[in-house]
Amino acid sequence: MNFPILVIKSAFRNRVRTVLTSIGVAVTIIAFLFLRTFIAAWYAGAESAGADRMVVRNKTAIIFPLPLAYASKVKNVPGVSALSYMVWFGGYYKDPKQFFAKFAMEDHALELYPEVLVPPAQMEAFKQDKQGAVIGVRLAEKYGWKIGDRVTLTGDIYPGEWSFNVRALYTATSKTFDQQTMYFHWTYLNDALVEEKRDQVGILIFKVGAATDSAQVARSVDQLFANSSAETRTESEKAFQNEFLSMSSQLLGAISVISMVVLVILVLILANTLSMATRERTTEYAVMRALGFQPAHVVRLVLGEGFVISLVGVALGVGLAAPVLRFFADLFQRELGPFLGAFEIDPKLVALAVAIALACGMFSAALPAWRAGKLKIVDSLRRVE
Amino acid sequence: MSAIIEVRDVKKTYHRGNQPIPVLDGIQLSIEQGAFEALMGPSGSGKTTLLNLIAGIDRPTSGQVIVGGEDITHFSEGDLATWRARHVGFIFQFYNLLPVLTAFQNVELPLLLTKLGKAERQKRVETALRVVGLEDRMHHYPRELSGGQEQRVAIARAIVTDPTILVADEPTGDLDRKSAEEILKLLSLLNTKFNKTIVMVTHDPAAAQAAKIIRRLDKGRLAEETRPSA
Repeated sequence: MNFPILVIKSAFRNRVRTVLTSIGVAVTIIAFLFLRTFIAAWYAGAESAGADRMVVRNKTAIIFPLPLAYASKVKNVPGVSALSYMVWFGGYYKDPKQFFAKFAMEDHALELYPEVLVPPAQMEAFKQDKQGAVIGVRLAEKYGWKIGDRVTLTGDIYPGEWSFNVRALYTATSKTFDQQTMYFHWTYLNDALVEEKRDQVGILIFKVGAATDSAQVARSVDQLFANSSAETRTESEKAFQNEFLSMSSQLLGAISVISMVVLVILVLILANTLSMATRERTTEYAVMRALGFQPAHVVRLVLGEGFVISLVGVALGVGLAAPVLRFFADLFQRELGPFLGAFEIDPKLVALAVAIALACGMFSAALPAWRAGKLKIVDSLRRVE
Repeated sequence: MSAIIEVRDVKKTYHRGNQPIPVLDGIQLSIEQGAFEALMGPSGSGKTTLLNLIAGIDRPTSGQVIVGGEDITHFSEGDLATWRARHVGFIFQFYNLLPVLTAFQNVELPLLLTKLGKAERQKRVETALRVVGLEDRMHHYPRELSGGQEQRVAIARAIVTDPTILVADEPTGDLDRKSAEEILKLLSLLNTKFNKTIVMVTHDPAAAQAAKIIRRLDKGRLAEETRPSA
């Protein structure tokens, strides 16, 4: 036997309590990982934004369109290279509650997204078919769509029944790029609109060269349309996406606070267990002290027990976190796919959770350990005898 | 014979709130190497307090306690713990074995404070358990042992470091008569065969008969000293 074995044996003195405490630690670890992963996933969309992509939108609000004529003017601004545009379609497939994003895009818009992969033959087929659609593979999996299928959407912003042919499926090299979106030809939409609603786009997207001052380009674009009936706001794609995220900042803030509360609960669970354990074992510590163990030995024993119990809980929590989060990842992909990026545990977050939990274990044990180290042998022996 | 334990004019006063409660009042005591002495007296007479002072787990209010030539009265907490590990073997009324450890591991516990290697520790533990007649139960947990067997494991734990003195506080107080007699025989054996100095606190006159000298305390003072007939 050695001291570490004594620590481990002592930690499992009351097995039921230790196991229940470890499960409590595990649950808090899973909750912490879940909440932090949820927040990370929420921001993942913005993280996937291209550094060299800029977005032009109506300065008043995103819901107001821009004239198509802006495209050719923006294209001539120095620093602007490839340019394309899209418009938010809205609408739904069969059930209004079954949401996924749908964009009417200029035919070459996806070429601005090198992270999006479409087989060339499928892309060509899409371009050849005015009613063609490019669909994310996860969206196709969700509805069981395959190449050649005909899909009909019900419009709301653009009322009516809109039929499409699935011509291409895209994947993405970035896990955070949403793969549940449907893209189709802007011309198909535009041609079907009444005269006064034609030739409008939601956003213009363009790329700037690596050495280009993107802020200057943005100012130049916005100056072009200053004092017009549709003034613009040009910003990086990341800033554009962050604006959407900021709408939910209060919710995310609350989730973040809850994730911290979870850690407090973790400390309380451990502190409660260790306080009970040390109180019950006061006589044992007194006996050890009488046998010649130093106060520091007893302190180390209690701290060690806190470490062992939290370690078991951490191992259990981290081990179970992967399948639990995978379950939620699948659920979110089905229900919230377009809103969440990759819902996967970041190894750095796991390392952080492990470090925090072990620190909480030691922190929770600190007071009981200090008390155990300070006990008076005679008084403690007298408690029983 | 030389005195292994000397208690010089020791007083001990506890405080309950602001009220002082004198427990020992000027104890003078000398115990020789190889002695087996019983401390008797009514409850509150101060016998356990005196034992605790001799064992170095309590400090006198005034006076000196000298064990093996060392004045332990003014030792620091750390030094006192080190001294106890080397010089004192404890036997408690309720055995006080650690329930999560086997008999072997309980006996080995004090040896964790030494620099002995695993093999040497094992040898000593086995020897101690053989002395108390429990070598065949070394892998049993305390809950798997009878009260008498637990106390014998506790005695093995007390002797495994070969301490200068053994202190026993009501070692038979929780045992039936038969087990108590076995424990007293064992203590006598340790005293006679291994020349261990033993100081035992007991209420039980029959248990006290195992000692060579019986000292009686009353109201914090040593009242009389008797020698039981063999």
